[in-house]
Amino acid sequence: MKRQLSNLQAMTIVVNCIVSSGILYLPTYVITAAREDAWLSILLAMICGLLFALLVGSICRQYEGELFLAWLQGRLGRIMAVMIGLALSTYYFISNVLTVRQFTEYITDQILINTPMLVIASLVVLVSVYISYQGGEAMGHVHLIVFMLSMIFVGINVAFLLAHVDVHNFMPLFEADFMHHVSAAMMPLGLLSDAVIILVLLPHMERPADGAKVLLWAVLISSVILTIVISFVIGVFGTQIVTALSYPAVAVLKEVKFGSFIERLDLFLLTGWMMAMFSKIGVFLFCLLQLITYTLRIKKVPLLYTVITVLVIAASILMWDKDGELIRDSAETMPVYFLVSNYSVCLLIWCSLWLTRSRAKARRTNV
Amino acid sequence: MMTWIRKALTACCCMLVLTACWSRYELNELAITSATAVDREGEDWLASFQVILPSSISTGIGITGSASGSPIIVYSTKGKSIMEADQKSFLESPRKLYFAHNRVMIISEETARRGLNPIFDLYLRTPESRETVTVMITRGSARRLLEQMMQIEKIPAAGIEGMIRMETQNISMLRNMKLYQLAMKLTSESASSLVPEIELSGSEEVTSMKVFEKTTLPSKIRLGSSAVMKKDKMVGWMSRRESLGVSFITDQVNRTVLTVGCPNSPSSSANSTVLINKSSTKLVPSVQKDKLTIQVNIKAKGTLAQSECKTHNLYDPTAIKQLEKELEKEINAIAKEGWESAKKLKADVVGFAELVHRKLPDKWHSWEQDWDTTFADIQVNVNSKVNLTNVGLSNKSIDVNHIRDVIK
Repeated sequence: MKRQLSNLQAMTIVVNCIVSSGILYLPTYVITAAREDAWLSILLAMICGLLFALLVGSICRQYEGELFLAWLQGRLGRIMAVMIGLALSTYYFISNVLTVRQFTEYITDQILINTPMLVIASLVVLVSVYISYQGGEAMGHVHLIVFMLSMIFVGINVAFLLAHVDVHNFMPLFEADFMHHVSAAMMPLGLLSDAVIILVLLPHMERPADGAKVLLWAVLISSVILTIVISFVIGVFGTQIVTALSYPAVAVLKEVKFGSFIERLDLFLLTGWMMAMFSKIGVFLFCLLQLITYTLRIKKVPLLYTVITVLVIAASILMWDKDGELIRDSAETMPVYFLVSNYSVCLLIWCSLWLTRSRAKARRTNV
Repeated sequence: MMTWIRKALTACCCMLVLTACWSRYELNELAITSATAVDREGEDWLASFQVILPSSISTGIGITGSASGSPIIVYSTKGKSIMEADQKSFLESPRKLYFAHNRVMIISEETARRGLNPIFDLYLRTPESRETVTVMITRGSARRLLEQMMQIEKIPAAGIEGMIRMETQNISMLRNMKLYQLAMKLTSESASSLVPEIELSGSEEVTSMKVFEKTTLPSKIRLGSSAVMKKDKMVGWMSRRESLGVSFITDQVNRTVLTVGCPNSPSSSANSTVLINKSSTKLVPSVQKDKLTIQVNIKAKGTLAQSECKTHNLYDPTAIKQLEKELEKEINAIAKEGWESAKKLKADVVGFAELVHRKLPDKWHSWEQDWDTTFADIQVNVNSKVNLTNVGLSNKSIDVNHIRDVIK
């Protein structure tokens, strides 16, 4: 297996996965819960996310090559590897379905209003399957380019939005109590748990042992970006009207208007966001296919690609009948599932590795 | 050969599926709306649209140019909701109304008094509408303002938007209020806002291009006073002077003009006019015996633009000091008038609720439930400080007789 994913590329993959989903529903959720102190809730989530990154980083340091599940099988046995493989596969399948639907929902809501959702979802998944089919190296390049372009677009929009920010909107400080912060931090914490993707990407990384470093930077950068997004939403809109908006981060960008010649700069950032969504779905599909292939010992990979493509498209269309259900699930149900699934799987792997460390040491000594 | 065929087939497939064919609209199927007006007729909504006629604005320079027809067309539709009225436009137009270039929304006084919630809902819900549209209120019918032509701008909506933008920059009596800003203000703690008034001066409405053959128009669009909104309903009007007072209190004066009488002048008709170039306001709330007092400190810098005060030697610091004192008195009076008007209408357009929430959060939580009572009981003290930095290109008032006498 080619190890051609640099640390920077791996970091951008994690950042794109966390931020692209966060931009849509996070501001409304966090600001509704913590009002003017919403940005503090993101920082609180960041602290927990960094601790989680250290835990995952510890697993990365013990990694000894080959496919992630194959390595786990060597250390923990076939049953454990299959259980972890199934848990992670389920997570990537559900996460993929949710992301495809969120992306599709936004496009049908805001841009291609009359185009059937099935057509958009199919296009999104087909493009993403193509990205994932190109393998780890190509995805690394794509994510790096997408990240850099997105940052340029963020910079342009931030520069123009600064004039619209009212610092009074952040006052009074520290009004939200701890429980409000905990409630507000659940969704960002769920998003930050996407950092677990690094485990599946380990076989493709040039330096898998640097996983902790990559994750710490990724969680830090993602949290800073999300904090900036939340801060601009509060700075421009305040905290009251945001609670009634579905996509406040996008609405904020629409307000950029200088004279009658500069407006609709949101299109730049939306382009970056769409690229990030395609890339995220691509890398999640890649992980899903890798995990299922190994867990279920599937040989006919092209057939698996076809089945997964059809399943993801069908589930993303059929799982949510109404957009309200999707938003509720995106903001409340799914983050809890992501949180529990990712954190418990990582904790399980870490504990199992810790318990079997003496056996592994003895085996290495024998070798 | 096979590779070439495969690539060509892929390209064809992409062309077929990437055209967004379900959602596409050709340019010649769209009616570009530059302004909208909302009136009420009984329980129905009357939505009017000022639609640009591209063929009429594409040629010539100036309002008339070489095209003979009107650059706009106005039509109205009625429905139980604004959206229903909007959709009924298909009954009388072959084109789909396109709101991405909508600059101005004019709301009739009756509509504003009955509530703006349906308008906010529509604009914040539908992806095609723009929340950056400028909102204005007019006495009487809103539709007739859309029909009015302007001399200097081909598209009246662009002219109206330009007018309010220039007014906000240069006089600061009225504020250019975007729809999202209005929604923000009305959902804030103070739940009140000012909205600029637009009106028609004169008698006969200018709805035909023929009137442009003359140098003056029988009527024209102009900005009026300010409508006062509380929650989602209009509760009254504020004069331009009172509105400027609110702008001073809320620190929204970019530039403005003040005319004051000459200090110690026996002639009451002699005035000095000062252009205020910079103004900043600091509000300091304090509580004494559970009563809220707000100290309004205004600092302004200005330039003397015109003086009729004969006794002034404008290089004399004492004369400048006296003029500054007069200006301070005037600013204090304007701010007080703005405050008194807000108090009378029981509308917190000065944003004191947010100020108290920010600076005195504990007190805010006890006053929040009955803010109207607390608001009516606030003691406001205004203190302004004016610095006249420039007297222009002359050290005294130009009075040819006086100058001739001095030379003799």
